[in-house]
Amino acid sequence: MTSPKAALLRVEQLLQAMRRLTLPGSARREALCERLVETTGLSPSGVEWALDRCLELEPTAEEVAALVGSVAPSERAHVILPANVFVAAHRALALALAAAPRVFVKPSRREPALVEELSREAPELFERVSELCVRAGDQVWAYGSDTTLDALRGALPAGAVLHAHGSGFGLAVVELGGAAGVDAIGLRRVALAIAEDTACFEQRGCLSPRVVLALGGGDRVAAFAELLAECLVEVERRLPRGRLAPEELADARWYRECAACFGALHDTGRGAVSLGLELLAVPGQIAVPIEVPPPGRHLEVLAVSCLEPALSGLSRWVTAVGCSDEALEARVRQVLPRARVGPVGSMQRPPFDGPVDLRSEPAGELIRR
Amino acid sequence: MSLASDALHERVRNFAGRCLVGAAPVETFESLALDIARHQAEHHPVLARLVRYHGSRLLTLEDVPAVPADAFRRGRVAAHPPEQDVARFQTSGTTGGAGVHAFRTLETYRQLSVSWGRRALLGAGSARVTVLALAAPFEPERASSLGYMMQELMRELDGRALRDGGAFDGSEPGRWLLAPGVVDVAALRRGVEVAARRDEGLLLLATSFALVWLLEALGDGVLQLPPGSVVMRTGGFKGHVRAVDDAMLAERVARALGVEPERIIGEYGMTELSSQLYDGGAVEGGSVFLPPPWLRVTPVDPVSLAPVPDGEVGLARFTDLGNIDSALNVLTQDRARRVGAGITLLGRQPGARLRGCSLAVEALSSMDADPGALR
Repeated sequence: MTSPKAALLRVEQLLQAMRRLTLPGSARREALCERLVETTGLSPSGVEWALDRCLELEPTAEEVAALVGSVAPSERAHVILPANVFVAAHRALALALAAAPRVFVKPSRREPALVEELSREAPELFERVSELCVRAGDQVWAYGSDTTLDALRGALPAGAVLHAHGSGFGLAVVELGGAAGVDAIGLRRVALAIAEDTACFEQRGCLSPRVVLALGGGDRVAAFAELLAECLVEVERRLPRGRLAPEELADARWYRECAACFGALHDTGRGAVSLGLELLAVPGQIAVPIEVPPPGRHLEVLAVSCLEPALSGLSRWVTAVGCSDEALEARVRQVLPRARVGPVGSMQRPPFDGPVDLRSEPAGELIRR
Repeated sequence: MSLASDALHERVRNFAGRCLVGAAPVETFESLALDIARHQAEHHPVLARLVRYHGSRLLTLEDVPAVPADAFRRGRVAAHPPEQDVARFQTSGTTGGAGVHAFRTLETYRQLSVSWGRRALLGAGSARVTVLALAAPFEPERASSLGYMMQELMRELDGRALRDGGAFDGSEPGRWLLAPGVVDVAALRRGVEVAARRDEGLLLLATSFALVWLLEALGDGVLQLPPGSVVMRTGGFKGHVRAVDDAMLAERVARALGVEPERIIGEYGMTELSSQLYDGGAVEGGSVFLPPPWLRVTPVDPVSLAPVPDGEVGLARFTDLGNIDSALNVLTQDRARRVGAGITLLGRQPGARLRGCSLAVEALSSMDADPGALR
């Protein structure tokens, strides 16, 4: 087993290695970025943006202590990494290193670059593996689709502990009307922040907003959808959309055709903003099924008059919520205590104090047979 | 608007009727389809928006945008007001929420379904058969297009009471053989006896999963159907824990009911359509489903939505002349390949899309019923 002090030291070693690897202007960073453009399909500026804005390299001591405190110690830990968000490897590794002195990492076949480069930078931190060899008592952090995680559950030995992080998506919540409404400049700032959160990783991760719940009258919501579309165009100039997989492109087309049938659809360069029907939510039931847009910079904007029931109906799937003001953040936290809640513009960078996805049980699932 | 719609219905029924007897239609598929599309674009907000979005001028059939099947789930897809609805058929909701296909008349649907069903299941110039359904009874409030089609096939291909040969009654006991999870094998035996007494075949209309239940109920036994009998099999295994290979199921059903495997005929239909396709033989990769002359299936590229070259796989886009008051062109996420005059269906398009909260509606659907029966 491991002591909290040793765990802290390992996490600090990881942070140092990651800082060296991504040091601005360094040859190592340049090489890493080149590889990441190939493996992730993100545009070069998209990769740079993600490294600068989404990789947590300077957490506070309290955050690191909280991260270490969020895991139970074990002898060995395993990490199975996804391809969708390359910086996710950083926090996943930190959790495993906080838990165990021996860490085995199975990188994604599609995106192995970050882990490989990090391994060269700090070979003592973890072992890269192509197949898992899990024993009773080991902990496994796994990120992937619900189907993949179910398959993993069936394959793990009894006595292993699984920390499964499956499908989820982000929401943005904005207040457009009433006394708490914001002025035009403030609105533009909010829309731009949501657009930046959306552009990051082409919405492939569970922190990316896909749906915007807008409190306010129908006209205001429609105007905000247009503003959001403008901001996505502006962001696309700075951060060109990367390469999408054929299935993602097909899903994007399907979404656009469906959205064009109902309400307004604003093209935003290579993405789109759709204005859906008002979300009529009552406690325990969502009257209008929400269409979660596919990755690739697509947002569905929904007018909502009653926020709490709408959020409550979504609790199973929502990982992160970005809010336009602090009062909204407090309301959202009341309803979604297991979501990452913060201001819009910071959805992709939650505090480095534990797992990104707080929906699963903190202690993990003990595999039984 | 109703007059214009009525005229289109009449033209489609005429087109179908002439095609079925081998007479030359008085107008082409294209001209009829374009008139339906223009009617829909004028009276139908969904198609009007799609036409605007695509900047289409509806000059050719290829200009007509296809309404995604999901649209039926998201809102009303109809060229007539709700107060004119005579039926609202519901989809099973197994792929994310229930959808509705509203009809202002069922006359065309009935004629198209029955005439092509008769041709495909019994052949041209077919004799009468006794018809039973291995499905839950059709109830208007349950709003199943499949149930309605089965009832109309019973009425038109049988049309007599089971018990005494009197007037047909769609709700007669013994006609529908499925209660939730339970197959009424005794009623099936009685139906077989009726058909044998009448010296005719039995047409058993069944969902795939109900056939699995029937096989379980029969165990190793054989319930011999009379000569000339046919089994219509429809639906997949969406929403069920188990899935059974199509070919294996057909083989087991053929053995258990004593019919030739080629007399187990697959049907493909969707609530969003008014016309159905039937199994016309097998090729490598599955059955070839044949559409009637008033339905065209075009595999299209999932990104450009342009037709793919012959033999390549694309999303199935249906152009259904029967959908006069809803959507002429319906785009699905089912992958299809054109094979001769028919198509093979290759399952759903693998998607990266996260279908989150549509599931809120899905959770309400009961798994006790056979979702294949509600399409």
